[in-house]
Amino acid sequence: MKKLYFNLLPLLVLAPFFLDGSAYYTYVGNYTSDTVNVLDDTNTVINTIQTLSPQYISFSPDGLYAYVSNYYTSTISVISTETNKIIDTAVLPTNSLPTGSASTPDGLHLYVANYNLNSVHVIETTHFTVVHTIDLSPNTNPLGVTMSKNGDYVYVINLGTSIVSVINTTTHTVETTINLSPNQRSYLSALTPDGNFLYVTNDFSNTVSVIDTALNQPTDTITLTQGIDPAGIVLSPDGKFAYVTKSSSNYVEIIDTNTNELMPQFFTLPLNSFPQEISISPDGKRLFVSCYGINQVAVIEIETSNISYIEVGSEPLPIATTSFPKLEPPTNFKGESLKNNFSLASEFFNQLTWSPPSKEGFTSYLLYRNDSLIANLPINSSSYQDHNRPLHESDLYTLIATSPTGSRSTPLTLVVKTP
Amino acid sequence: MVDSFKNRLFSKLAFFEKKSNRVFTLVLRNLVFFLSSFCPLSATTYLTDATTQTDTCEKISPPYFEVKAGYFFFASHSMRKVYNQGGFDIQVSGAYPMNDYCRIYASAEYLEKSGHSEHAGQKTSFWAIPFSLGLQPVFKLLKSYPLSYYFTIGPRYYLTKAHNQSSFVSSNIHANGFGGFFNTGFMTKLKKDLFIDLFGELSYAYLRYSSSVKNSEGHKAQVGGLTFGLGLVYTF
Repeated sequence: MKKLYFNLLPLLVLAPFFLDGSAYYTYVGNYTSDTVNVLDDTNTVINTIQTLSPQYISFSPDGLYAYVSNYYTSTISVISTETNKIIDTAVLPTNSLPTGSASTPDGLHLYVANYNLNSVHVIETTHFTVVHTIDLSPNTNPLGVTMSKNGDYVYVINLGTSIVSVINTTTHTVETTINLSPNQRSYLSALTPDGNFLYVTNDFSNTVSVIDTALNQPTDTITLTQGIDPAGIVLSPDGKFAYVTKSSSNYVEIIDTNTNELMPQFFTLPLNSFPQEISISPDGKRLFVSCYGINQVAVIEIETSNISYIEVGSEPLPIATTSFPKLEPPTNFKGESLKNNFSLASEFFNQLTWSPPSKEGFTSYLLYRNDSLIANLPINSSSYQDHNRPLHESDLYTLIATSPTGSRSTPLTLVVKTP
Repeated sequence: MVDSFKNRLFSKLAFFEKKSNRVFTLVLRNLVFFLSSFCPLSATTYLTDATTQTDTCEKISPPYFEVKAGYFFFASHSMRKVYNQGGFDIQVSGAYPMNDYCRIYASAEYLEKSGHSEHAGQKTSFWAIPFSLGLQPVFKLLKSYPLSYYFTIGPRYYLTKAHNQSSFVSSNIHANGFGGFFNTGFMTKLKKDLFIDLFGELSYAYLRYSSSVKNSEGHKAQVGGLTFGLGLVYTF
């Protein structure tokens, strides 16, 4: 079951907002090394986070949190994408096998498919506890989860029955089901940017189903040609193309979503790379493919078809890309250690100062000391005193300006050492 | 000679032993013994003219009670940098003649200073209540006018407290301990039994303070300083 599941479980995740000029980060879950690697937009691994059998990764709408489904531990790890630390863990019922997940647009709830218990859990994201459980039919084996554009519905792709369950997010009930061709093992799905069509990969039939979300009916079926076992799927930011990984045959195929026909162009990956999931950069120029068989992430330059490879952990499965619009950072970030001297007693504090960004749009600053958030400051502040610092120690400060939508400036860093 | 003078002093203190704590009396005896070493002149005078001692003492060096007010500032540069406001200092003191030229002196004092911490500018206040005991030689300067000069020297016990308006160090810190003082001044007569005293005082005490807040520390500090002021003296 495990091997079959791995081969057939490539998942698609897109960050909810991709804007030009963004700094973006790609999160790759390595199933057998129990880690998540974080890649920046220079294709460099900048962080490795310890998790447990990561099976799926999605993001909160503001991109500030990554949700990692830990397959064999019945948990969801919540990772701060600002610090790349696990800040919380949601615990699912015993014997759960969490798979796909998706956030509501307001970010208050996370829907998680439970492959083993044939259910979908609703987790509130304040305390990360399960508040609702929606039972599906026996042996449905839910896998992929995609949120509708307006957040009213969740589409759950059931591997066992090739039925798409449409869950009403207000009533937390299955409002309708969409029957695809039976026994074709439907996997994962991706929604067009306008929310009108859902593309679903079907493993056994080597096809992609197109569902009209207004009618909740399949309107088209695209037969793939290069190899077998379609798995992961991602749509370009403009919605014009869908990219599909072929998990057993080392290809990435391209669908023109205007005509729902295959493009003649396709990408070829190394033999035995077993491409699983796929994500795309916010500018639509790069594809990231987790290559389960060679422990690498393939980075495909779409325009030139150049492919480079990044070493990651063992057996990478889930992959997802999130972005934060690049905003102008504050300037003149300076710091010094000073003695707060009462003469009869004293302590050392680090005095930090900065100049605000020249452009408007920010509402607050996030200030970190050694990767821990120490202050959320209003935008009109230009200094901060970090008191009671131990002697002879260095502190690394990171200052980020943020907007209400979660946009962040490029981080500014500074090291201050107490005497 | 000095030993004989001390014996005389001890006899004057004998009544304390009857009603007060014996330990206190013992401390007082030893203190007088210590202080008398600063006053050989008075001892000599007493021994050379024992028969006229009482009359002379009443004319030149009567017992008195005094209320003094002054301005205090710290001798320590670091204390002055922080506590640069206030400085009101009030004292009540009394003296009892031992001979024509020397009194035994005691005082209780209250002073407060305030200011702001360096670099962070947080408010802080300092209070001290020093208790002093000393010997006070007196010199009559003019025969035709009641103007005398004196100085006093002796030990001082400090009760001190500081309040810091900060959560980064202990908000209330205190320390108690011994130090010393030296004061000097001029007394002149206003009218019968009332004198005015123009004085200056130097004090010294090195006390250790502690702060319990994590990553803060207490310091040793010289909390003595200089006081200048005026006193109103009532003689008996």
